[in-house]
Amino acid sequence: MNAQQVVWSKERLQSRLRHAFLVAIILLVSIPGPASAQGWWWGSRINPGFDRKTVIHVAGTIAEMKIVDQGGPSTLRLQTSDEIFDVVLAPGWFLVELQADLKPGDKLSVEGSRVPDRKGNMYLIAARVTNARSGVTLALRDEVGRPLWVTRRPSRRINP
Amino acid sequence: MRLKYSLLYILVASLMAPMLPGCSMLPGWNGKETEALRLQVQRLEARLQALELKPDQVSEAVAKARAAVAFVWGTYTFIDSTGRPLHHVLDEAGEPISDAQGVPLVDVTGTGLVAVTRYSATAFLVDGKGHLLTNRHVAEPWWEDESSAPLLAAGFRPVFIQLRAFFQERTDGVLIEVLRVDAEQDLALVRTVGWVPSAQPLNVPDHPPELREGQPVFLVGYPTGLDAVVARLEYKEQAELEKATGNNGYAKALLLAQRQQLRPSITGGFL
Repeated sequence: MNAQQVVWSKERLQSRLRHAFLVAIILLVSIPGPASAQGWWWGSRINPGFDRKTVIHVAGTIAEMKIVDQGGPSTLRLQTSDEIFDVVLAPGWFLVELQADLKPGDKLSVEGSRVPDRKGNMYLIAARVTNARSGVTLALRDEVGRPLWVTRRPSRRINP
Repeated sequence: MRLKYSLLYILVASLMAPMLPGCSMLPGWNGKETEALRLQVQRLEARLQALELKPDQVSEAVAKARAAVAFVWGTYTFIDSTGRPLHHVLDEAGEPISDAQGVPLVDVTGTGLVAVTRYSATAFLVDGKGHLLTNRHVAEPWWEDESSAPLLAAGFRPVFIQLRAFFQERTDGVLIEVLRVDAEQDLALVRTVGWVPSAQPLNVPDHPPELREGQPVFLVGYPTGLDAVVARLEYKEQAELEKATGNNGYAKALLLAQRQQLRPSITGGFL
């Protein structure tokens, strides 16, 4: 091995570094890794997440509703003055138990946590929903976001 | 009057004659037309036979099939190279973290419950020794599963927590074990452990007979898991079941089995 082989020119060194950088980027992108530093997104679905740091209040009109008895929560689409929110409510049976009276066109005010799914789509996980037409407030989650239908606490339907 | 009926009979008979076998003898008919007509008559006969099946025969066949078809319930998790299973990661309030769709965040260092994937499926008895045929994706639910792929690639290993089958003749789930999976087809052989069902197995011939148009068929199974089973209940019963068992699918299946309500869906028709 002679000195010419060992000592690389500045251009060659830069070229090698560029290649190494590119390879590192490709490896980072292609190797499956944890969803975040904290772990992996995996397992059977549980109740949608609720982040107290992202709680907001919005008011709007019900554009669409999807009541689901099992296999997932019921949802509605809320049209506000400047945005459309996909609002996650509760299982259909719990809404029936609460005697929830919601119809497309109703004006609602919703308190909930704005949370993304893994694809980046934003949802509003509702804690309290007030219907302006009936004046009834539905309490779906407690102060820390725990669903009231699994905590074995008495159902709460707050009448005006 | 009698002459009138005789003439009418002759007229009807002459109109029916081309529909009878052996009509190739009649002038103006070639072999192809005769063959086509023969096939048509055969199909009509098959349909007629199917329609003439006595209702009690169908009931008997359905009851036999139902007894041999099992509801499969499974849960599994992943463990790392040191044997640590995945646990739910909890937030400051002690609640499991999940995204807006309910997909949970899990890790071996999580402080919540062990994270599992739950699933249900169908299997059916093929002999009198407790052997059942099912799909490979039932015996190995992580097989070709998109959500499990990153964990497998990172060196995690899947382990069953529960794998049970419910039969009509029992009110609880019986343990089953995986014997073989097909390397190419989505097929697997499993077996009950410590108990053998008394139900008559379904006949799986080495050389199945050719299927014919008009043949009656019925499908028995749990293609939508417990959803279809629960949907058959009264709304009040559904709510009670949900409240009593919550997110625990095994508890739900157990309660349904105890109430003799864990019954497969049956749909049928003619080929």
